[in-house]
Amino acid sequence: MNAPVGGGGLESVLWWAGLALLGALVALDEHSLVQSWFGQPLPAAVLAGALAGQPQAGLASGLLLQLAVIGNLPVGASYRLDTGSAAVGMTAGAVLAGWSAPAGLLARSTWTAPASWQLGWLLVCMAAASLLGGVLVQGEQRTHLRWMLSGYRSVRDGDLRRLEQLHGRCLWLTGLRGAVLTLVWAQVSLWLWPVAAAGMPEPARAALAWLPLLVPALAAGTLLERFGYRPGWPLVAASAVTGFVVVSFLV
Amino acid sequence: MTVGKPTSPDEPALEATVRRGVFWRLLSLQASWNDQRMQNLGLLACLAPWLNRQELSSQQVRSCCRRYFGYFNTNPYLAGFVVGGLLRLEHARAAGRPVSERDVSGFRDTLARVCGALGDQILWLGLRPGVMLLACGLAALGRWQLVLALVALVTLAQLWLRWRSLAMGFRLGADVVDVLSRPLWRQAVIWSRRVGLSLTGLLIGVYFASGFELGETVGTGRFLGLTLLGFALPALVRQKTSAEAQLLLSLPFVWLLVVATA
Repeated sequence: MNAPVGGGGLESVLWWAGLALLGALVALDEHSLVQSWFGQPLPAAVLAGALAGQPQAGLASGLLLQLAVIGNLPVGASYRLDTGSAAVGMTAGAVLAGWSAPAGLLARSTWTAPASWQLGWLLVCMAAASLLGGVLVQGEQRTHLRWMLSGYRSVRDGDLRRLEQLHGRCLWLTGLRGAVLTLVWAQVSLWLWPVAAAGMPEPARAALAWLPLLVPALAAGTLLERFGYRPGWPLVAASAVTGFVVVSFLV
Repeated sequence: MTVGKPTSPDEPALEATVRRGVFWRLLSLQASWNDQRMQNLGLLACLAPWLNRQELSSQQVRSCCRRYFGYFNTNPYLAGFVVGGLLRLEHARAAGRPVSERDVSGFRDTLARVCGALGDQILWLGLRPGVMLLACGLAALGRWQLVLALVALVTLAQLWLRWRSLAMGFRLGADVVDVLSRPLWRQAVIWSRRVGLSLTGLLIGVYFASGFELGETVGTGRFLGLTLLGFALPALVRQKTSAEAQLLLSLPFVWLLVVATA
């Protein structure tokens, strides 16, 4: 399916509805329903890119965001962010605004082209959107608490149906949050992209251009911090040497 | 295969419609997660198909609601063991067997803790970073179809685990604890960690090789500065700051680095 090229019409409405549905499903999958990992930034961005007609764009943005948040745990109290909606909305918006994915992250042109700052800019937008969306996630969890406490009446009257309805309502709320935030981020991305392209100062462009190169190191640092530095270092060292040799001499 | 089916005439069977109903709800166990009692509403929603099927008095339903309205938290992928086991104990209670409320609560709390700890170690800290790093590797090669295929494969595997664990939990009842105390689980924790560490090492190796490959384009000083910043930041903030915040925090440092190495 290709992204709508301007104007209204049924096709455009259907496309935006499809994006909202994808956002809802990703938000549900992240924490509430199935948790299949399709809600992780990489597959979510690939799906958003595919919906916009450029799966490769989703691959580039999703890969970087996935590496950046590789240490995030979608577990109960740790779940305070909204990477899924950010990845879907911002990627789709960027593609609609005319962003094209670089040929390959390892290609020299990715780092030397005049538009090399755009990938870093998209990464910053997704990170900021995830943090802002996290405020809504926290509000949603407070609403869950209120609804859960209102379900205490079922302990007195034995009405199971009420508890099921409350649980279902929580699912709907998460889906709604995902759909709305995805649409908002897509619109924000659409609006911000030309503004940034026209007015981004040169020093900021330079910093944004090199930001993606920081992400793999950030991911490795986060994972080592999670696993602990000492216990597995021989395994890490051996794998690092293998990876280095394979990429340097064999690929 | 006898899982979920009675192995002797005395053993109860979990009806197919109830099993399906419980399974679908098990997939949304965390949907109503809240700070105070975590997955309690989700657990009650899971038990509802079975409770609706039983001819329980109003008093029995109220008592059941009270029992499960308290704190409950476990790993969603292994929750089938807990829910299946609880259904078996409730079944025994409804049939008039000597199973006290305390037995049920004790079983629920203990097993939820065990499954929570195992699931967090194996799935969240081991398998998930490992699978996603593998997906990132496929993404770096430009194979988006393979990325989606990998995630689909993992999804099928976890759905199978959930379906089977529910049946196993019901078949074994309180004895499901024996299954979870098998050395296999400990091995799974160790191996998922090793896979995660190996893939982290591979990421580091590929990163350095790519840095050398990009060579003059990036500049040695700039590359080493970025590497140092990337490795140091998570160690400095020690999981107190989210990854997104770390990324935004690093932006001024990257700018300084770019200016310094220009």
